[in-house]
Amino acid sequence: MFWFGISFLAVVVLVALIGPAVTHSPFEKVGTPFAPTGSQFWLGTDEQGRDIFARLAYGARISLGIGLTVQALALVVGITLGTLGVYGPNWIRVPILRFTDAMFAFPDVLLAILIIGVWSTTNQAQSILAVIASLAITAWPSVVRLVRAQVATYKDREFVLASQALGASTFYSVTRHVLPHLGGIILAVSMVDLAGIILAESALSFLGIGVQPPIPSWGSMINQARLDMASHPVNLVWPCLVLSLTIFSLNFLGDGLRALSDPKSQGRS
Amino acid sequence: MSILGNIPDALRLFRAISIRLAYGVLSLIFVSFVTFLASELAPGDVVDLIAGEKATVETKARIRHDMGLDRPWYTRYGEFLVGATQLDFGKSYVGTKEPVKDSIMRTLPMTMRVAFWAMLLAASIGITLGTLAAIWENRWIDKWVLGLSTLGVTIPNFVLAPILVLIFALQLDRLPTTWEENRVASDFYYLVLPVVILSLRPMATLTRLARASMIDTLHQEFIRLAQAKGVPPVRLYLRHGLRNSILPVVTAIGTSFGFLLTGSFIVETAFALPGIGRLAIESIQKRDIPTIQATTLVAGVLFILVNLLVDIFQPILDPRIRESQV
Repeated sequence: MFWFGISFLAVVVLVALIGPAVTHSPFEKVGTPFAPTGSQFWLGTDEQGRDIFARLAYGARISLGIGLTVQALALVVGITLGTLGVYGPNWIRVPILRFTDAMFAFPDVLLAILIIGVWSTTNQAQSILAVIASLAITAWPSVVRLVRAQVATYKDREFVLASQALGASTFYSVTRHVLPHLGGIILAVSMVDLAGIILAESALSFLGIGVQPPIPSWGSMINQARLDMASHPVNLVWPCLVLSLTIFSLNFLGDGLRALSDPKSQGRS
Repeated sequence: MSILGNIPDALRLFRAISIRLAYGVLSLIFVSFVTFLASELAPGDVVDLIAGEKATVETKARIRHDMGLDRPWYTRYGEFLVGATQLDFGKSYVGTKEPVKDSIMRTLPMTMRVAFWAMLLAASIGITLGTLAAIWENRWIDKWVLGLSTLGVTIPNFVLAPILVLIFALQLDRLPTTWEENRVASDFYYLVLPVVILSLRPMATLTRLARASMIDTLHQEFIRLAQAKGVPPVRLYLRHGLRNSILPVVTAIGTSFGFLLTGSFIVETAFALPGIGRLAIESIQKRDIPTIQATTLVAGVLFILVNLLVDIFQPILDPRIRESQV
């Protein structure tokens, strides 16, 4: 399953990178509506005669792009605040931790929906920025919790104390001795978080408040195909399959990486 | 040891609950403030939206004054808060300018109804499956439960909704596709798909957690002792096992409720259910800020209240937590 996850993700990344270049335009009508699967349109065309494969490929670029950007932002904020939450002076440490706790008062992506709701726009480029901003604001608190808990377990370990006893500054011992230990767990959790962000992005697009048309997104493709599913159910199947398998693969990858970084967790939860 | 058996115990419990209540109130204030802030930071001028393009400067000034927008933010936050406690969020910016309270009151019952049944379904099936899987750890039932719960966590509900409609409504023709004003069958047929789809993700989470927690419990010494004493299996698993393993699951019910709330946005959109999630999405598309604020705040408050309730029940359920919360 771990290897299935890696191979599927590799295919998705490859298709996202070169797919849109080698097929038809994902934005324009290139054939008759609802053309069947064939050599010209690999997965057929949608209700407007647009190439479904090209749209899935471009949608992969959008989903992965948004997912990676949001996760990168969340990691930068989360690692900084999480470390300050352990090593910072009290007047910085306590507000950070309280504020992080308070952010959990919002369930799941409700805050993202509020932010999008207030800044909603039909401008295509801005809609992507709005999705990235709202999901990043929703994503960072869980990273802070993870990093803080992990950094706290290393704070009083011998090798960290030793480096400080040898005269290393706090900044040096944190960046050189503590944070490198977090690499494995952060990578593993990031995969699962990435799955959550891609899921949230697709959900927003499904609801019509995420990435705006005609930019293809897996979520909006599902919502579109839903309208014609009585007559053309196959068009619904493709985006559903690609999205589910991507989420699936990222979760397996995350579980696999976690098992590698922490042998004790195997077989549990 | 009974809950009110001796005075210090009851005091301790009271203290723990008061602290938790205070945190709950702080959370409510935070959520309401962020919700208020969102409209303050919204781009564009509300007055332009309401007065229209051709309004004169005097008309705009009058509207601004009538809406209280010329007063400082803390006065308006105070009023927002006081209004919110009475579910008064002013009037909608668009359409019939209906008071937001009315549209909330109209849509909230549907959301609560679906959420309640979904949570009940998720908790009962999740705990049962998780416990069974833990009892037969690593046997076929365990592997099936784990596999299915992985599917439940990973398959998004907006993927499941159209696919299940395709199968049960369009192919088998057993269920209606969406909610309708004039229903030909009992509500059960209209709500069964939404409830099941909404419950799957929390169900999967609770199953995994119930399994992990039960496995931890069953590996402890007192279980082996009970087995050696010849406690019959049903009593062993229910009284000795489940009672000790249920607490993390109860906590998770609170967190899962959050996924249920945001999930209801999707399910209500997919099945055209007149609930608060669909109201929220429609008001976002119409840029109707008072309704967006109200729906967010109501969902946020429900989430906080459910978690508060769960946390207050915990020390009552478990003496170990009562002891530790001094």
